[in-house]
Amino acid sequence: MEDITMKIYEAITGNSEIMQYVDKNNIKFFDYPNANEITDTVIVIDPLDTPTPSDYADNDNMTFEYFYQIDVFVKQKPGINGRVLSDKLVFLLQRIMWIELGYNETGGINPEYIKDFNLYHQAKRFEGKEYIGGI
Amino acid sequence: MKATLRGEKELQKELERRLGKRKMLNITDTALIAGGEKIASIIENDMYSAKGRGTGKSARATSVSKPEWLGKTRMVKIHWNDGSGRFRIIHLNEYGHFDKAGKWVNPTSKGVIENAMRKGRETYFATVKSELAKRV
Repeated sequence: MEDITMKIYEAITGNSEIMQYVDKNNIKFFDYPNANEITDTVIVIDPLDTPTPSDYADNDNMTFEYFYQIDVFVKQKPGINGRVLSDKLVFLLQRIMWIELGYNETGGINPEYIKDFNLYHQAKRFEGKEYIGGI
Repeated sequence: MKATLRGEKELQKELERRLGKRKMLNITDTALIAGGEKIASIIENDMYSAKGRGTGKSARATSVSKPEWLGKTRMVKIHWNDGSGRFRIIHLNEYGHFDKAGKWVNPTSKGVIENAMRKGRETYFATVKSELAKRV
């Protein structure tokens, strides 16, 4: 069994372009930080489903389907254009998920600006298949 | 690997010639509505089971739109605008949100709608297919 959450984390941290903007400690699993404590850019990887068996052959499933939500929070502060940065991060995420992992996007929320906390928030959902024991 | 599908357009033309455009549209619409209602009932059931301490009003608001055109595609939409105003908060329960104090709220029903869609995907296509086969 592969640790897909870790695989996504490593794919993100392996991308030098995205790491220019995000600190390694600010990429989190499951744990959403308090909005008041977000001072930088935060990415949260959240699995939404346990692996679902699919593609049966010989009375056994060949693949598992995975389903993830990735949230991007960007704090608006002097010197940073949060709107542009969050768009860019989401774009990079989409590229990483598709090119490196082959996960396609299934949806997302309207990009929002949370005025109370000066935060830009976008979320994307990705779905992908992994073969048992590789291809 | 590459596969080419031939004769799809010819088939559609032949069907249109035999049945007429209006009849064809009628057939696709019934199939779409049947498929949409199957998915909607799966979503409604799942939302109801995941309602936590809620009342289940959002689940009951799940409804299917009339078939409409999106460009050249005929489609039905699943929506929550049944007049109760619940459609305003569906996305909050589906994706999670911050509360007033800044704490992140992860509802029990997070991702339930999309998981139900994933679960019902094959059922949807099977329903549409069988509805079409019944009438063509």
